[in-house]
Amino acid sequence: MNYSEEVAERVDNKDCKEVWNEISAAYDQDGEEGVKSVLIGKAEDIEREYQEVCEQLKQKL
Amino acid sequence: MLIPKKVKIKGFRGFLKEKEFSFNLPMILFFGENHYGKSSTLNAIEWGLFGNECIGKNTGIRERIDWEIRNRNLPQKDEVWVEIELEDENKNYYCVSRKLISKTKDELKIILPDKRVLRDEKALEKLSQIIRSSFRDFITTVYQHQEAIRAILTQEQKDRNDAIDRLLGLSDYRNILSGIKAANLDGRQKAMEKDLDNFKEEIERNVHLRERDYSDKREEAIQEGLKENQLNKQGAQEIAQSARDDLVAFSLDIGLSFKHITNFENLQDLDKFNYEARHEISDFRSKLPDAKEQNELYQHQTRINSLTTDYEQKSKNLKEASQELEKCIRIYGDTESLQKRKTDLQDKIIGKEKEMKELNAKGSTISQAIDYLKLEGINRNMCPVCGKKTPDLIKKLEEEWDQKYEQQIGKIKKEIESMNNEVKESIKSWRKLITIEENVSTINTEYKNLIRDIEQELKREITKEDDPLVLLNTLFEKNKKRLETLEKFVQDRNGQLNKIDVKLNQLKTIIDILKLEQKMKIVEEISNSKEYQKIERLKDQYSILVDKKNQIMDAINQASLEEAKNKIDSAGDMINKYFCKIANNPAISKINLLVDIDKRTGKNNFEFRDQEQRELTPILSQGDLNALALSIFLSMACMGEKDCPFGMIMLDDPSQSLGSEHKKNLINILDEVLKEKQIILSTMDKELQNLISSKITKAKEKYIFTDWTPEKGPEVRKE
Repeated sequence: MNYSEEVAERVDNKDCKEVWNEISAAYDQDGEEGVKSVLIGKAEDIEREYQEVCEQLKQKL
Repeated sequence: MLIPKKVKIKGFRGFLKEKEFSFNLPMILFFGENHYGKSSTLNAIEWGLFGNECIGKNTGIRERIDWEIRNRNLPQKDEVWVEIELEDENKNYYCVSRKLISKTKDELKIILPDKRVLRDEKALEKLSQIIRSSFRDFITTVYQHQEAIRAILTQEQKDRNDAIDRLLGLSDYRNILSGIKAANLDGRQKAMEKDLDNFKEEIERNVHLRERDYSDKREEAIQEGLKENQLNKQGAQEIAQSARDDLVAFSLDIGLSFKHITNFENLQDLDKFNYEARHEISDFRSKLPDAKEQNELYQHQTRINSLTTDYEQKSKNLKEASQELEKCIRIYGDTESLQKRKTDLQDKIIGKEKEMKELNAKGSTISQAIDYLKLEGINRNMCPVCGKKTPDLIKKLEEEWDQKYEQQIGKIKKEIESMNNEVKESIKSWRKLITIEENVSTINTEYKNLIRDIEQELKREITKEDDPLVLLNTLFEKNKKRLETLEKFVQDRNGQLNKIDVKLNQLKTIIDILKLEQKMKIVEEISNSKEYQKIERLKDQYSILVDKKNQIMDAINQASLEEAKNKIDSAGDMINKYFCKIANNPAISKINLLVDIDKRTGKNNFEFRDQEQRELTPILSQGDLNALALSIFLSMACMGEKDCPFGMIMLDDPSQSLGSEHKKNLINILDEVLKEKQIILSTMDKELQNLISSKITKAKEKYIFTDWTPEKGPEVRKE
């Protein structure tokens, strides 16, 4: 088994496995930077939405 | 198993012109000084087999970041390529050829044993089938890089752990963990949570502030005379109604039109009413008839004051100028008499000048007669004009010239001079008189204009019998009385408007209270809003993402640890054997390589223990660590023998920190390895080279790298 399968075998959660597949694919393609980009992308999606809603609430305030 | 039989290199890294190396014997040795091209030769084999995979950060080899393939001194037109002839256990030949076509791209070509040629994707697919090995496996079990040894020689436990992971072929786990760490999800999550906490605090602060404002405003309302039961919408409407009724009554009373504001159902209407009603009051104040008259009278009084002052000044000026004129006339006479006197004097001067001219003419005749009589042969006693005989005529004529003409002419000249002076004085006095007359005339005109202005202000004609000053003063006093009356009227009206203003102020206070109530409600509702709930959901989503990341990291660490343990279990004895043989340290009869998870980093942590399970790291020398790195590499290389598709190992500068004894021991091990594998070894170490020559029992093929220049690349001699 390669590293990707080894890790996948140790991840139980289905959602978690999906994230891992994204990470390992990004690593195979772009290395460490790819891994970093995938995770930052996911974080930024949440952060962007958070900022938008926060802005709406701040205006109410 | 595959072994390289021939390698051709052109333009690759240290190489310029095409060079060929044949590997026909079990032991291949590259010997030469640093930077003579030995490592470039090994790198060429690696690049030929793996292309871009062996470049960049992911290789785990620091020097591979920004690694340049093309030799900088190579002419632009020249190509860069590497050709490797591989032989398998059945004596089949594969020719793998890789050509650089741009900085990051290359072309792959394979000639198969049956002479078929495969290119690009098909060539890549075939190559994978032939070598059955990843780049990571290759550098773990086939090619020992210089850096693999240098890294293990470090004093830093963390770096040494990294190096051992790499030697065990676990770099991918390490690299992915670094990538995950670099994304800094925990830090970002904390930042978002902090931001959310700040926002919550802001909401709380806002609630507190508004509660305080609300309480202050209610207190202010009570102080303004409002009652508790008025501080609501109904109270506001009643006050608005009352204020509107007052405004209507006021407008009817003073006969001014009024914009009726009737609707104040909601808070917005009430606010609008308050604003418009204030505007109306301000309008009323400026349009009050009494106030208008009052204003006009104030302006009138100001003008009367100004006219009075002007009149006093102008009268005084006129009086002074007239007095000066009279004084001058008394002294010089009027302009007419001065003009006449000047004319008379000028006539007299003309008469005197005529008289002087006649005297001059007569005098001239006498003078000529005297000159004539003084001529030779002339009768001096007879008049040359009339012929009358007169004794001593010349003497008599000379006496008459001296006494009569000279004296008379002098007298007339003096008289003319005196009269001229008198004429000048007359002109001067005349001019002065004219100036004073003009001044009197100007002042008089101004005076008359002022009288006209006064007439306009008094609205009547002013005759010579009138005293304008008294008339102005009388009017001023009359106006003053009227103003006193008006002031009282205006004060009363303003008092009425002030009362409405008070009501509007009260209304404003209640509106402010109602607005604050609304704001408080909004702020209080924020915590229950859809948006707020969404924020909480996003926060949870972030936590889930971080949890997933942590689970993945745990799984990576677990996989890495288990793989490390498996490899150590499999290779442990061999590592121990090789290490004890190379290091030959009398204190260490056995080395145990242990691995566990570093609780702080979650990564693999390696420990070395001796036969009595004592920690060895503090006593291992650089030579021992070098020996350990070689032991791990050789064990990994030999352990995977059955699975490994390659029948060779490549060692680059393996004796970096080894002493003479270590080197001898290493040679013994390599001699053992050579029974199973071909060895391609690169070194600058003369001692090691001599040991290879004298101690390695297998046949050797030696390439001596004698020089390297930018123009030619490496100079290689085969021995």
